[in-house]
Order: sequence, then C-alpha cells, then structure tokens
Amino acid sequence: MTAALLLGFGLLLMAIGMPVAFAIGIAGFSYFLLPETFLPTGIAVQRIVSSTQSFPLLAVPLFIFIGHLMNASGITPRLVHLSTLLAGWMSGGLAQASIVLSTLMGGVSGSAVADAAMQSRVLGKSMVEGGYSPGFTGAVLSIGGLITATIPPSIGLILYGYLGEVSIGRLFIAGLVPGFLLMVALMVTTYIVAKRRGYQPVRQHLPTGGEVLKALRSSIWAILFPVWLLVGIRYGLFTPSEAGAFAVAYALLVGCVIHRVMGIKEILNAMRASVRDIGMIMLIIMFSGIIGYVVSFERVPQTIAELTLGVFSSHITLLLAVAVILVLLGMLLEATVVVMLLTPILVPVIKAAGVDPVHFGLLMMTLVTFGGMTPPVGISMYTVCGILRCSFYDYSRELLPFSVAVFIVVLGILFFPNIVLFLPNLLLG
Amino acid sequence: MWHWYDKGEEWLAIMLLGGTSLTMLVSSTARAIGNPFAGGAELAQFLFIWTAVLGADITLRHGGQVRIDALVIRLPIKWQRLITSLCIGMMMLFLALLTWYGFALAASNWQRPMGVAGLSYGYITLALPVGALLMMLSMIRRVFTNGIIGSLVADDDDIVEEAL
Repeated sequence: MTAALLLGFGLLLMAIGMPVAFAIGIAGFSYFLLPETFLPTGIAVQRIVSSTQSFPLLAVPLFIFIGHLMNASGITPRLVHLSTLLAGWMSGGLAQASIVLSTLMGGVSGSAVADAAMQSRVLGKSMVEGGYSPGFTGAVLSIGGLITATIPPSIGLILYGYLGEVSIGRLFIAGLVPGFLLMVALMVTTYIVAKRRGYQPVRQHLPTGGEVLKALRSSIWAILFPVWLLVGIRYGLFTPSEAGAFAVAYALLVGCVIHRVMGIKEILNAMRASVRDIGMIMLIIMFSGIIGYVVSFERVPQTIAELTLGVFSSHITLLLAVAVILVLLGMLLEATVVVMLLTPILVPVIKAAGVDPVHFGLLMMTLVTFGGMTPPVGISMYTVCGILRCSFYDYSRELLPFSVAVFIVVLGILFFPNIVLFLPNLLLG
Repeated sequence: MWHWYDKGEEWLAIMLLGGTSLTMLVSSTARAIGNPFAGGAELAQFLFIWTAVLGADITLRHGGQVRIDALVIRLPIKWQRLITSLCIGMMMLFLALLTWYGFALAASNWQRPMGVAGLSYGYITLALPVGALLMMLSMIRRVFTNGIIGSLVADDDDIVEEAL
C-alpha cells in the first residue's frame, strides 16, 4: 500500500512537470522520511550510490558513446546509399529505404530516438519534397526507430537485463528475429499506403548484383559490427559490457583510419553529446535505485504475483493484461522510466507465472518503445515532428496503419514465444 | 568566470568518459588474452559514477533532464510559475538532503576498501554529495538566467544535434 502511494506520488510529481529523475528520487526518498519507517535515511543515499556499482551497467555509457561515434564515423551516408539501392525500386521508395536503413542502423545504434532524429535530418526533407505528406514522413521515420531499438545492440534491453537479472547476451540474440519481423510488417504497410496514394519509387529498376555488391563493400564495416558483437558474446570472448569497450575502439578505427572522416573535433563532439545523454539516463537510474529498494522491501512483486496468479488462469491472459498496461504507460511516460520502474516488479511476477524473462523482455521493450512514438507524450514524436515541422494530429493519423502492423507483430510474439526464443536457445543452448 | 567553470566541468566529464572507456578496453583486452589484471572493473566503475554525476549536472544546467510539460504548459502563467517554484523547491530540498547524508556516508565509508583495487569506497560515495551540490548550484544559476518557468526548459543548443 505504501509503495503504491509512493508510486502515485512520483507520477503526480511527473505530471506537474518535475524532471522525471527527480520525481522518482523524491518519491522514493520520502519513504525514508515517513514516521513509521524504521530504516535509517542513510540507506537511501547508499542505494543511489550502489545502483551505479554494477558491471553490466557499464554497457550503458559505452553503447551510448558508440551510437554517437558511429554516427560521426561516416557509416550513415554509406548505409543510406545501400538502403536506397535495396528498397528504392519499390512503391514509396524513400519510405521503404528508411525502414531498411533503420534495420541496418539497428546493428550499430541502440536508441530509437537517435535513429528517428538522424533519419529526419538525412531523409526527411527529400521525402517531403518528393511528395510524401509530412505526417506520413514523420510517422514512417519515427516508427522505424522501433526496429533500431530491437536489433542488437539495444540500450533498452541492456537496462532490462541489468534490472531483471536476465542475460543480456540472450536478450541481444533474441532481438534479431522480432527486429526483422517488424521490418517486414512495416514495409508491407508502407507498400499498401504508397500504392494507394501513388508514392513513386526513387529508382526505376531493380538494383543489379554488381551495384549491391559495391554498396555492400563500402558499408562492410557497419554490417560486420553486429555480427562480431554477437559472435563474441556467443563464444564467451567478451561480456556485453566488455563488448562495449571493444566496440568503441572499433568505431574509432573505422571513423579515423578506414573512412577517414573523423578527427579530434568529431570525437570530442561525440563525447560531449554522450556525456549529456549519460547524465540524463544515469540520473534516472541512480534515483530509481531508492524506489527499487522500497519496492522489494515492501515485497511488492510477491504481493502482485500472488494477486495476479489467482486472477489470471493462463499466462497468455496475464501477458495480454500486462501488455495493455505497458502500452498505456508507454504512451504517458518515457520508455526508460517505465523500464526502470516496472522491470523489478514485473519480472518476478511473470517468472512465477512460468513466462521466459527473455520472451517478456522483448515484448516489454517493443511496447514501451512504441509508446514513445505515440501521443500524448512521446519523445520520438516530439523529435521527428519538431524537425519536420509536421502537426501532431497529421502525424498521429498517419501512424495508425503502422500501429496496427506493430500490434500484429507483438501479438505474434506474445502467442508464439518460440519466435523470440528459438534463436537464443539454438545458439546459447 | 562561469564560462571557465562550465568549460572545465565539461572537459573533466569528457576525460572521465574517455577514462572509463579506456579502462574497460585495457582490462577486457587483458582478460581476453588470458592475462586479467585485478581492479580494472572497479576503476571503471569509479570513473563511471563521476562521469554520470558530472553529466547529470551539465544536462540539468542545459534544461536537458527529461520532463513531461504537456499539462503544465496549458496552465495560466501565474499557475505555471507557482507549480514550477514548488518543483524547484522540492528538488533543492532533495539535493540538500542528498548532500548532507552523502557526505556523512562518504566519511563513514572512508575506511572501506573496494574489492581488490585498494581504492577507498569513500571516493565513489563522494560522487553523490558532490554531484548534488553542483546540481544545486546549477539550479540556482538557471533560475537567475532563465527565470523560474524557463529554468527546467531545454536549451536550443546544437551539441547533441551536431553529433548526429
């Protein structure tokens, strides 16, 4: 009960516009100031410090840094060329290319918002000039970020693994198939919309084998990146956090030596941007350390597990109910916040119900990330509409068919866990 | 004066991030070639918590800490000012409490070595009260330069965009 009141207090503080990190921190801290709490206040401070002292968590700053480095390393224009070549001949060519680009970028970046922002700058303008409505352009560029966030490496999955004590390596490998399914579903949707509106291809004919080979060769360093990442994790050469360190070196090597577009200035800019992103995400992580402690001290997961296992007869109905809650919360709150608050509560619950936490992790991350692309509160939506200057209303209307496609994929994952699990089970046993 | 302070803090944060990455790289390489050295992970975690608190302060000073302003901006200005003052007041109180208890905790942790590296856990604990103190300072500066309502609103600067 106390824990529910504290969560409510935190949500109220967020609603009145307090930065979410502080809203979570203050709500958690107030537990220690309650008269009936016998815990010393110093514990709250200790929890904030100890929440950073985790080896798996070191993957977060490293992968944020890699995302910024990769963007500066000359990989982006090469991948844009490759995806236009691969998908530009279809109806709605540029939109199709943007979805393929999200998939390819998924292998080097782990953030949906960063992907949507980059694509709006690189492709957005030429799409609107090419006759696409600004709302449709915004919707397709923003929703593509969902693929980027699902295909490894994924910052959301690192956080989920750290909080739920789930293998990050397994989560990474499990993200591959859902990522590709999302790509197919979104491309089919784009095709249907483009056909109906007469959005033209950007290329007149299919690419020739030679052209594809040439483009592949020029972007080989970007495409190889997720491959060696997964191979290394699979064979135990490095843990995901260590992989982060090697990947930083890799991005520097590609940017400075191979593509020769990155110098000290670009590296420093990438570091400057990374420090800000890390400061933003880490403050939320640190301050939610208190509330995580309160939640487990008050035995919230156990209580919820007992309640829900009585109510829901099968784990499918439980997952469906949780999915609805996650979509609604994802629409209102930032994805990181939902993950930070709910992973420690939900993972024990779904484990007790017999659901694989890797399966649930992919489901949860897809739903809350999707929430960031929808109104009323969505960082991806704000970013894309801000850059393209399209209205939230047009954007939301054009997002509808894509939302249906996403829900179809999510339901498929929900009902058939093996879509997610067969690859990690096959590779990691 | 503030210009140099801001520059210095940013450079320090950048160096700490570089240090974290480099430490991780060296210790991972050492482990991969079968010659692991003790304390690499702990050193990385020490550098990382300082990167995080400095980054948090820099982000706060640019209004970059995520918040939901969808409801607040629909209120009349008078109410916005009142509610935002309330938020800032609570944030300052919270930061003051963190500073107070944080220094006490750091002092009591001074004798506690972390893992095998022999580094005192106090250096790690110290990051929180120092960070909280810096954030209080940034918050006050922000209110003076941008006013109460503007203090939590993100700046339009392009550092993040430049890197994209």
